[in-house]
Amino acid sequence: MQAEFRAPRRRTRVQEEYEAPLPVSRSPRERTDLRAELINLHVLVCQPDHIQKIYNQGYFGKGVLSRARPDHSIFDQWEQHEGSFLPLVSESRYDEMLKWAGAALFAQGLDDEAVSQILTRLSQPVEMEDVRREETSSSYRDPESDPDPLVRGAGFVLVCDSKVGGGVREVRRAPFSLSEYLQLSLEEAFFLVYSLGCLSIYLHQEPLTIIQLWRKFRSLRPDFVSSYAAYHHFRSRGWVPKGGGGAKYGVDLMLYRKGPPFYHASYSVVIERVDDAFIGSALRPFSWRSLAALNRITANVSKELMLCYVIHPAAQSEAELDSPECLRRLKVQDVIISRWVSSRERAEQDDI
Amino acid sequence: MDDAPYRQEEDSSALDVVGVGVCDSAPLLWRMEDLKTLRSHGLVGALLGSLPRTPRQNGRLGRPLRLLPEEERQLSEQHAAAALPSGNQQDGGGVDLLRQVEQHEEEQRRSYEVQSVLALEERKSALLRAMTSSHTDSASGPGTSDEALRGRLEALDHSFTFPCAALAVQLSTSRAGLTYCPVDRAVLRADWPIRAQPDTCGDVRYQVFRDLRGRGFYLTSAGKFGGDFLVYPGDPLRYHAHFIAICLSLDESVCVLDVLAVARLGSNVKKTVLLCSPGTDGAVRYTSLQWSGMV
Repeated sequence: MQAEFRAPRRRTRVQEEYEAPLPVSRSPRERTDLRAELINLHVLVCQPDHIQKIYNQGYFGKGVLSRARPDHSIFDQWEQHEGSFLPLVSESRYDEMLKWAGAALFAQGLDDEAVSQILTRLSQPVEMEDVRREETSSSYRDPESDPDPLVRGAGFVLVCDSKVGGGVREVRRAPFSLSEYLQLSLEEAFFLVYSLGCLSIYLHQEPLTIIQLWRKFRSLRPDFVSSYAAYHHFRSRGWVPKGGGGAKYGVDLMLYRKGPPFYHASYSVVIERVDDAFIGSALRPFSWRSLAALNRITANVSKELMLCYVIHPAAQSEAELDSPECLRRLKVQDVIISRWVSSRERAEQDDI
Repeated sequence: MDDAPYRQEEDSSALDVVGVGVCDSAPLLWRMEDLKTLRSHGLVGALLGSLPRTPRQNGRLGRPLRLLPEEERQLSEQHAAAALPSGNQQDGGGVDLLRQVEQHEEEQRRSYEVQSVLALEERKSALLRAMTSSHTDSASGPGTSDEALRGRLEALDHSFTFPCAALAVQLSTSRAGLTYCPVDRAVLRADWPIRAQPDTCGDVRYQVFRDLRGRGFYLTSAGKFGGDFLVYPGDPLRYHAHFIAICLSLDESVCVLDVLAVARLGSNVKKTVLLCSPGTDGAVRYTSLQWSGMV
């Protein structure tokens, strides 16, 4: 009986292009400087071009309003109009959005006069030259210092006056817009900062050093060392480990080849922390019953269960764990668990 | 059936007593009437043995029947089961056993002799066929071929031995002997304990088992699904399981990933997961989990 390694299963409909495995360029002279913010214990990337780069090259992170890629939009119908791609809304929906914008302005303390003035100014029809001019000169706005959506004036919409398609389209300003951020998990953020060196994380406009980040993340998650060691191990093997989706299957990580849009997840990983003699306080204490359930559900969704043991050296002090240098003394061992059904193997032998 | 007079001797109001054989701490039922009695109590058990006629499969299994520890405990609390005396067969049947062995060996010897004669006959006829067919092909005279044939046959007579390993042995597949159980039924009393020491651990499981059984559900083991019991609304031969019951004590802490995994499994196999905990007042509290919606 031998261990069987199954090839990753490709998804049936692949709509994306594979750009690059990691958001770093091949030539050593080019430096990638990406920026993220540590806001309220989460790492968020706010600039749209940085978001695209980090997500498309390596599939790091998750859009805060979306399932995977940050592509949430409040408009679901879009149309080409004189050279620009604009969202299409009906008159009634546009009025509804104006009302919401008005309510937001009221909440900010403006009086009736000012609100109705702003709304009338907003709903004036706009010429296409203005649209094109604004599109070419889009500049970065800091999310923290600019909370007012109306001042940002992002985007234009096509308002059509009849419910059925066809009818005159009018270009107007969108009353408000929603920009979505990319949220990185702690392990992903630390990997980009420490291993690749392409990301800087800012806290209150100040970039954090690697040691500060390590200590901050360790204070946020007590088992950060083991989970980061496992993440780093799988990334360096070429897998794309995704953390959040693991809870769906009762595990810590799901491993994808190249990325979630291309292949189904190959392995479900449970991270365990042990010391040299393979004894340790289990991060996830299994009983036979829970291991059987996990094995069964993993087989039902066509993945394979893998236990990843992060082995700490015998004499390791707290002080040593205080710096990412402790990573070089850790070892990682992977064990794949599969269920052996005796009658199935016998049937195969009978055929032979 | 020869069991009928015994059954009439017992008190008709008392339930029949099930004889349980203990093999290395596993409670087993061997006799057909015990299996039927068990089913009438509403307990199912699990068949373990292979069937003599279809040995190389485990889709359908035969006796013995293994009881869950909770089933055994319930039977002993209801005084409906007793230990099968295990040494009974050998005490009275020592002489019988020797005689049976001698008979068997005698039969084997006779069978060997008959079979060796038959084998020799068959070899000779095969040789004859081979020689005559080659004789028609070759152009030699009839006299020399007859002599050669006779010579070959005599050589075969001298040198032929029938190997023991080629002996065909008949196995009796019907009445494999489990119905023959020389235990005096009247001797089987319900106050014989099945085991010496009571089983104190597994109390949580037993309370849940007793509660669900009292509500009329049939329970079997759910090791395959990572639960404790599979709960059927009626006899398992007629219904699919509705629930997977997992027994937890109220102060036990459970990892949330385990709860997610088992809830997901339940929806994959179309059963509802029940988390069962016996409360302090003796009543059992049930929480059902359903996985709804996927993001």
